[in-house]
Amino acid sequence: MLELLSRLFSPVYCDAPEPWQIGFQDAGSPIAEGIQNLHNEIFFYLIVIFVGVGWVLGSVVVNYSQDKSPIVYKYANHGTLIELVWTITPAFILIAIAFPSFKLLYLMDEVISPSMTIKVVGHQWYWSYEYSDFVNDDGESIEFDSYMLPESDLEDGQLRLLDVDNRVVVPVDTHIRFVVTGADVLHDFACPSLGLKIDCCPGRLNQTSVFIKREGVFYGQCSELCGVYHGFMPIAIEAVSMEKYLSWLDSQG
Amino acid sequence: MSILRSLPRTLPRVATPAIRSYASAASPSISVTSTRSNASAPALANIEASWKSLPAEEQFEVYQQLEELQKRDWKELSVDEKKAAYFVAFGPHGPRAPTMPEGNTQKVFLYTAAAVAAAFGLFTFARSRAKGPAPTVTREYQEQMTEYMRSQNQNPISGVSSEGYKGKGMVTL
Repeated sequence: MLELLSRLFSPVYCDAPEPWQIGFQDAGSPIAEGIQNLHNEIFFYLIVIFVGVGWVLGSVVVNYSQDKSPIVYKYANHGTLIELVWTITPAFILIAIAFPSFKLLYLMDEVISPSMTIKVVGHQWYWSYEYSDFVNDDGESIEFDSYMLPESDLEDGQLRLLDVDNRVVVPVDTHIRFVVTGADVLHDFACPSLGLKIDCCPGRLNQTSVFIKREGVFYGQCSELCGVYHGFMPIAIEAVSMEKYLSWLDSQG
Repeated sequence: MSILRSLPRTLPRVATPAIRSYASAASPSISVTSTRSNASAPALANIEASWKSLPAEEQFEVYQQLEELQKRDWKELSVDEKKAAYFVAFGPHGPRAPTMPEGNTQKVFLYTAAAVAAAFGLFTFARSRAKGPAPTVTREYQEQMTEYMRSQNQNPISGVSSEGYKGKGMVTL
């Protein structure tokens, strides 16, 4: 039981989910770091609010109980000062939360002169990727589909429901733009540790950017209910060094 | 003029039964009109016990009587009058009547326990008919998963690939 509790309440940081994880995955990009910082900042206000409201509620329960003051609710029904306090204080708290929140929101919205673009198309129920900046020997851009590995094909400890047959390979320390859309219904291209989450809407192009700071494999899942196999179209982004990335590109020829 | 009002404020409690008996004897024969006096109002003492059995007209009459009493100095009200005023305004009757009579706690507990037991039975039945765990839910595979994640340098800050990591990784069994 103690072990279970410690697992429940210990923060877990990772690129892929771990058993009993309730915390954030480890940030692999500045945007994910920003999101987690904002969460921590808001948590500070949450604690302040929790203590304040708890103190008020506790005082009321203790001091105005049925035994001590049975008909207080008939007469203690209006107080201008307290109403001003509990109206203005939340307004200031909301303003204090809003500033860093909007700052981050608009920062995430910015696509900063990307070095490469990857097109992402969500299908029922797999992802397809297209590297339009690079062409193969036939002069066609590199494109491939990415399906989840079925249970029967898993080997050597591959992650069930997360590993795919073809990963999105990208270089680290590079501004990458993802242009996303859906081929049939709404999907959502998401990768928590990179702070990526963007809807893939049929008939519409959405774009976002990411700057991956370290090598690794980052897992995500479709995050918009898209049908019966919505839970079986994971995303695996493999961040590699530029040299490895170029050799991977060569192998796609 | 109400009998109660005509009596001195220092009316001893002994007098109350007399008033009550008068009121209850007089009530059936008096018709209710807007000009009806409070002479037939039931006694205010122990109003908690008699309130439910009073007809609506008399309840309204008591209410009106108390409203009139409260317009005067409250310090002059007798304890019975104060108690009656509180009971009529805030007592457990009408919309504030308890939804369940007292003493039914055990019944509620038993029914709730039965519902929980039925839900647990349904859950157990459903689980017994379900497929077994995935082939990856074995200790061997979970250890392989941990190694696999390490080989990919995953969770390098405080997860399985971090320095000095002492957790169990993906192992849960």
